[in-house]
Amino acid sequence: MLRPSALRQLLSQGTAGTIQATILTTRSGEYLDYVLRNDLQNQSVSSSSLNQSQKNQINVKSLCAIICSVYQSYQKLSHAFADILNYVIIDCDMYRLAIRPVGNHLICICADSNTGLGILKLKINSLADSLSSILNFAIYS
Amino acid sequence: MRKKVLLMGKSGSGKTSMRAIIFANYIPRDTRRLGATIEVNQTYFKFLGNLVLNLWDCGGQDHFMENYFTLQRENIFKNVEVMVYVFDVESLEIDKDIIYYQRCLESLAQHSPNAKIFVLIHKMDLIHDKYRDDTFNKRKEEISAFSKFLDVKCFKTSIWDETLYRAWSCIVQELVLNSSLLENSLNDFADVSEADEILLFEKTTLLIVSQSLRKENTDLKRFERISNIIKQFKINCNRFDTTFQSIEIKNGNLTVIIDVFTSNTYIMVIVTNPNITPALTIHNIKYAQKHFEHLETSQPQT
Repeated sequence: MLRPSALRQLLSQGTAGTIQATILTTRSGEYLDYVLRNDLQNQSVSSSSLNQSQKNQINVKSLCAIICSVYQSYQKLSHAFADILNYVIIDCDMYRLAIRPVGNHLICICADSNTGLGILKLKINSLADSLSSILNFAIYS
Repeated sequence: MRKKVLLMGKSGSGKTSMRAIIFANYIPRDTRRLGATIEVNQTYFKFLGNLVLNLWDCGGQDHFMENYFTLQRENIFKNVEVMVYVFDVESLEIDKDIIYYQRCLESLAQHSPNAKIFVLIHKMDLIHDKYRDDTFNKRKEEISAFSKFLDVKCFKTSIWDETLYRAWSCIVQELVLNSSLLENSLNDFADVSEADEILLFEKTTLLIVSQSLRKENTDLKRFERISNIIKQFKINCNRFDTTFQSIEIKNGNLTVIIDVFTSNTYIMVIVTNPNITPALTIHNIKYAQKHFEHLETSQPQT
């Protein structure tokens, strides 16, 4: 089981530096929880400036739907080559994404485009390791 | 595990209608076509895994009542777990009703001294709203006077609103075997998933079997109202050849998820924290299902 406050704390630990968002989602594109770096920075800011940051915020719902769809496509491709897909790193114009499966869920880290790929890989793997004992238990029990 | 439940009361007080609505998916309007019960109508109802409710719906005609206290006394009043006595609030023969009630208590004391007793003041919808509480309190006092030394719980009920569900939920909660264990598990579950309230409903009757409340709520009638609403919705779904599976409601104030939980129950989880997504709560529910299924199937056989 996932205690919401503990999960959020775990996800926010990764959302620092150039990381914009950390998201835990189901395979079908529904997010379980997410942490945006804007939220963490603006926790003590007045409401007027909050509206501004809301406009710059990543649309998490759309992002989830897209990354799940993208991940599934790559997974199908890897099956065709009799290969197992471990994780996907996508280099886009504005962001860099890392997507990794944990049990029946996906973790996604969304970072600035100047983030090092190595740090991205390290973060997604350590996050997956922390969550795997909880999420994998759900399948096998 | 069989538990005997006696349903007694004068003829026409509403016993069979009650039974039809709670256990047989009747809507209140349909109870009009029910006729007088002849002698005792015994039904078995499987409830929560290995609990079987043996419901004895005893016809209330004078002739039958006399029979119950004389020839069939031991047969009727032996091994009773719960007796539900129904009073018609509009009855003109209150004294006669009380006499029958007393005779039931005597017979019960003789043959099943440990039985729990519930009194339902029925057909409350026939009393005007503003007089309802007074009438109920008056009757309750009268009945308590005649049931001295016995722990009798009184409810005011009507088939036309949710009060019937409240009474029967309490009755059924007395019969559930491991209710404290169930409640503790629900409390733990509410704690971890950070839910405000969790209710556990029995699958067919939609009666509340157990609950966990983490936050205070001023609406005390919400439980039975929810039972009533969901039951009506379920009956309507059946009419259109579909089966009710789950409901998910999310608005600015709260998230409500009602879903199939174990093979005999539905769960209702209420979360007011806007940061907790329905997907997360559903994940937690699916995870907890296994534990509660195990709780249900491993009840002690006594």
